[in-house]
Amino acid sequence: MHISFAGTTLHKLFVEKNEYVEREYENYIRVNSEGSKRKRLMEWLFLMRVNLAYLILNRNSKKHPLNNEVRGKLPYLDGPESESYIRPREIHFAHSLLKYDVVSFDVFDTLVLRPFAKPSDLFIVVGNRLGILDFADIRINAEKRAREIAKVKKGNTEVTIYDIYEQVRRKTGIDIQYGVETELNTELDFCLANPYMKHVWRIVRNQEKRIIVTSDMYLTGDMIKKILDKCGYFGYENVYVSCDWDCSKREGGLYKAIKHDIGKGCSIVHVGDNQVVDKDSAIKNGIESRLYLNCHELGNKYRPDDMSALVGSFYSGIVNIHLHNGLNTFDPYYEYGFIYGGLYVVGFCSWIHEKAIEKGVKKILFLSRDGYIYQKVFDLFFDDVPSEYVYWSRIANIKYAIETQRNNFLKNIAEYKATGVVPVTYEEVLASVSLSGLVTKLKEYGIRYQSILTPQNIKRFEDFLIDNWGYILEEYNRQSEKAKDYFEGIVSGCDVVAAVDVGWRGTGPLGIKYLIEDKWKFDCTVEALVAGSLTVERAANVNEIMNGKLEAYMFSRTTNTDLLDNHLKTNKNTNCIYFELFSQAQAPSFSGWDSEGEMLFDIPEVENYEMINKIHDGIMDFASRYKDFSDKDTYLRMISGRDAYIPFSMIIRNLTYIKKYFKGFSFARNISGSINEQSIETIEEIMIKTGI
Amino acid sequence: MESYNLYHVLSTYHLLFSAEYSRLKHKEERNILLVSNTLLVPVPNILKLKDYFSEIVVFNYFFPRDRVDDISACSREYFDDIFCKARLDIRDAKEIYVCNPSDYFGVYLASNKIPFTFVEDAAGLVSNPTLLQLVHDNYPVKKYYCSYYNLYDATNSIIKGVIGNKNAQLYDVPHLEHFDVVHAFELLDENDQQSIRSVFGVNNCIESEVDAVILTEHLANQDLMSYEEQMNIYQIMKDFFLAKSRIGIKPHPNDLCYYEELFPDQMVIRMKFPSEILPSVFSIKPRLIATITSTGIKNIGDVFEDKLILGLDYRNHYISTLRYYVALCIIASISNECEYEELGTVAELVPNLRKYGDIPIGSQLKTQERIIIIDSVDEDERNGVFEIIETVKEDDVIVFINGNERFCFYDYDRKEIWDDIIPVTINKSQLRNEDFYSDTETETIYFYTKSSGIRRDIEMYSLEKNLEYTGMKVTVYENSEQEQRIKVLEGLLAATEKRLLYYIEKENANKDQQ
Repeated sequence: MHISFAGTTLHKLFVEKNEYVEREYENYIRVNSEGSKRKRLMEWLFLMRVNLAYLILNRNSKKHPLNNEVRGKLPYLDGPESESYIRPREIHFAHSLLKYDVVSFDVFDTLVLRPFAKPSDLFIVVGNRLGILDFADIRINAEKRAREIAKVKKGNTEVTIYDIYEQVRRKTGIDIQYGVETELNTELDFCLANPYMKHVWRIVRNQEKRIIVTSDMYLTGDMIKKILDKCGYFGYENVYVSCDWDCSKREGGLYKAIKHDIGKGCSIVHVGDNQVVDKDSAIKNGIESRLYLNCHELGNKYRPDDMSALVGSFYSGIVNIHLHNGLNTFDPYYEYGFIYGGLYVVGFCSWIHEKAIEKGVKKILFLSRDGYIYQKVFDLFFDDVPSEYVYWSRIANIKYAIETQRNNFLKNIAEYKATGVVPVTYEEVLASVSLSGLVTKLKEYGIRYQSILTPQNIKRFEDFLIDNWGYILEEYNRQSEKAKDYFEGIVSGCDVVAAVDVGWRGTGPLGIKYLIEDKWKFDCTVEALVAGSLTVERAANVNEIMNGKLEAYMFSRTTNTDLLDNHLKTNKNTNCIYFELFSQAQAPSFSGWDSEGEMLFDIPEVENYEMINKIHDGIMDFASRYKDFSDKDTYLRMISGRDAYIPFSMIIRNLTYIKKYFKGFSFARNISGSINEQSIETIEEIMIKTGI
Repeated sequence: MESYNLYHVLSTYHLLFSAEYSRLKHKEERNILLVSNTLLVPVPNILKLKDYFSEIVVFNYFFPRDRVDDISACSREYFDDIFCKARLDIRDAKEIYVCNPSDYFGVYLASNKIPFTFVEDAAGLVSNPTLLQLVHDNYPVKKYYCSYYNLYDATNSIIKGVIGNKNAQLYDVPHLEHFDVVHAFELLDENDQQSIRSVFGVNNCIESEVDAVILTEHLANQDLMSYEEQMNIYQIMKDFFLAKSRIGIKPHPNDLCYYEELFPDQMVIRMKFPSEILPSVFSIKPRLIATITSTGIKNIGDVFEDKLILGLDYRNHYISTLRYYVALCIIASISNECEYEELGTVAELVPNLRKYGDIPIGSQLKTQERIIIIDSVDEDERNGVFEIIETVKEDDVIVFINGNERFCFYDYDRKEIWDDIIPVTINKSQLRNEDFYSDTETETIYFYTKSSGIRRDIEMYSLEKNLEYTGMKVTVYENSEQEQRIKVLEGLLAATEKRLLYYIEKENANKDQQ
């Protein structure tokens, strides 16, 4: 015989007395009772252990040994996160309800989802709308106080939102009605019909089952109806809300009321997300139950904890409700874009827009190939600043801004190639940068053109290039006329433009700045913007960062240096590769113009295109969800560079996922690879060679 | 113990068969129904069959199968217990009629070597067991046992006889006992007919007039596609094949789609009866019966004036319907040719679209050219495509549907083909948010002809069509020469990339093999 623990005095004493204990205990039951019989003894032992930790040793949630915040969370690494828990398909879930006469649905986290990791984080937005500092805390404490008063006055803790705002008014002086309406409107703006449960609801309704809605909530029945209307839930018979009925599901009173109301002889099944409230208590009161695990509880264990409160919760909420609602599972590449790249691209685009407005930018130039996805997301969010996708690359930059790039040129052409993992001949190196005319001169320096460039002969090759610098300048200046024509058309009519690239030294945007402002002297200034500024050398571009010629979103040598260190020093300096997976394009790299003025491209890495396409789909889906939810509260788009980087920092804590899914991704690790050989490395090869 | 006849039943079709067969063949005998509990929801009046069966034994279809690798042991344990509780001895059964033996009860009988009569699961399945095997792809253990005991094709030696509709078979099945449930229904007296109808909740005839009836299937329920895909396939079916018809939708008893909301102005027949009694349900018989792959149409198709069967291939490639539709519209605008040649196309899609698809009437301009429609061919059949391209005459037209987007008509050494290609871009836009289950990515089909005049006609072609039930607007725009040039370049680039990818994948596969 099963005797339910919920609702008993012992439950109140050992579970409900402390919110952390309650949360831990409910989580434990969820995780451990699913699909099998519950192990009561183990549950009790666990409960005693958490009571010891929280109540007796007085530990708070952060210090608790079971809490991931201390250990450092890892994302789900075994596959797509949406497959970490497989729900029954909606049609099968619905089918299991059809043998009952009446189907009862819980509201929040069942029929209706909200994009916040914790429900109470919505109060932060309410606080912004009301313009009250520290409102979220005031609101939480007001509810607590209202429930205490109710307990004294009427013997139970059921309160309405009006009771809560009575307490809010005491602390803030705001009008109760105004506060209530603001909170309700915020709920309405952020609530979303659970697409899985919407199908279930419609199936049940069309099979002519009676539907009721049952919630333990301070919002009144009429308010709940407004939320259901907004989410498109129609055809229900009645809404039972604890605050209207003065009794709750948790205590069982509301279930009893429903049974009485529905009448004898009708079988009832209740669907909800809370083990104790929606399952144990329902069963105890003679109502069958189907548990729909809470999306946030399935997802939160994989979300970072070190983001700022609001953006962190909003980001986690969006990811959780999309991946874990049960309607679909997703591809690992899609998820890479959605979970780890989406927030960064949205944040970067919002930051670009902010800079553009601040500096009077007339057009944003998104440089190929990274700029492809940036431009798509930027255009999704903003229509007040025009944008254009501009063909450019590091190799084009070196060629056409050669006057300022001597050191960079020598590094890329000599040093990087000599130390790169792909062996390259002198002839190939020169051909790759359109300097085949110099091949015949190699002999004068005692260099055989078919020899491999190695670290031992860098110096001699550098000397060769420096001695022929005049020829190199002349050759590239001749070609740069084509670049000039191209850019003249692009910046025509703009007195300020912004050139945008992912990073890292900023040579792309700075090169365009140099060409437009100094070399070609167009009547136009260029703002150079990058997602991150990263150089191995301590002071490589620190001047440009400090004098404002180059601005970085996430980190540089002067801001968020801990993130920069993390990016640079973990995973043997390969993190840029994994980061740039977000901003690849399904097109070959641009390498300049030929003598006929035709654009030149490298051989396309077509084997990557399907992966890139899926990553982009993930990023775009995240962006469109972020946009929709933040349309009325656009300040949510002010995502700090730190917050934007943190999801990525999760996935590089352990490279299992990247190794598993991206090992075949081809990557030109250094620029100006051999055109003849085109022996591009795969991520797997890079990992092996770097010993990861 | 008194001997009895046992009828094992999993679906409404089985129920109908068992009621008819027991009445017509074993009327005065003791008949016992062994019915799955999954039928109790769609047929709550099942107990009314007491007139036909002296006992009705309900078994739990989801009985514990804890030893997943040995379902024969689990089945033996479970059904032995069922018979024990019902105080029946299986050895007393004179005849055991097993509707759909390729299931747990079939495994039970076969593993115990208990002889029985095989009753086909649905019309025509004795000669086409592949359909059932496909459904069982999602249940590999069950599939293994059913194959092991030869339960799909009825070749197990303990099977005493096979009953099915011989008119629905793909070939003459030897020793098949013919039984046509539609005909059998007519042989019953009026009282029996009415009592069977009432078991299925059909107490009155349907008065509402419809032109066509769609027999749906529970595709999502069987995990053959997702729930949203299933809704999408019926939206597309209505929009492309039955656009002007007022339709009645007869959901399969296990189909849980909410057709009332997808087709609010059409009729949904919610009574859960087997489609075989459909002809007797309407006051005014509809003209057309339509389905994707429902086997029910094999029993009742000929009762209607016309029947539309889209087929298994269509079920797998329905998403290409729009490409075919646009291709046929453009062909109709440039030609009156009646015979089209096809290669690698979705089976029966072209003739079905031409017959039911509201394709505009062809122009009067040309009549004699060859029209060839090519979709997706295997890599080793591509030479056939190249031969066709090389042999076409000036006014011939080839349409490349390119459903699998592998550009079977192109290779690096055949760049010149692009001189005579006209890409046609199909634009899609979403008309509503609710119940929209398609995608809005543009699609491209490619026309090839050496005639510059025909190419120009194709370039100038424009189309606008609202797919009301799919919730999508489809547009094909007329293109300027410059736009056309860009589209050709984009097509060439896409084709080059796809071919390159194919060779990379092939090389990698070879490497892996080595």
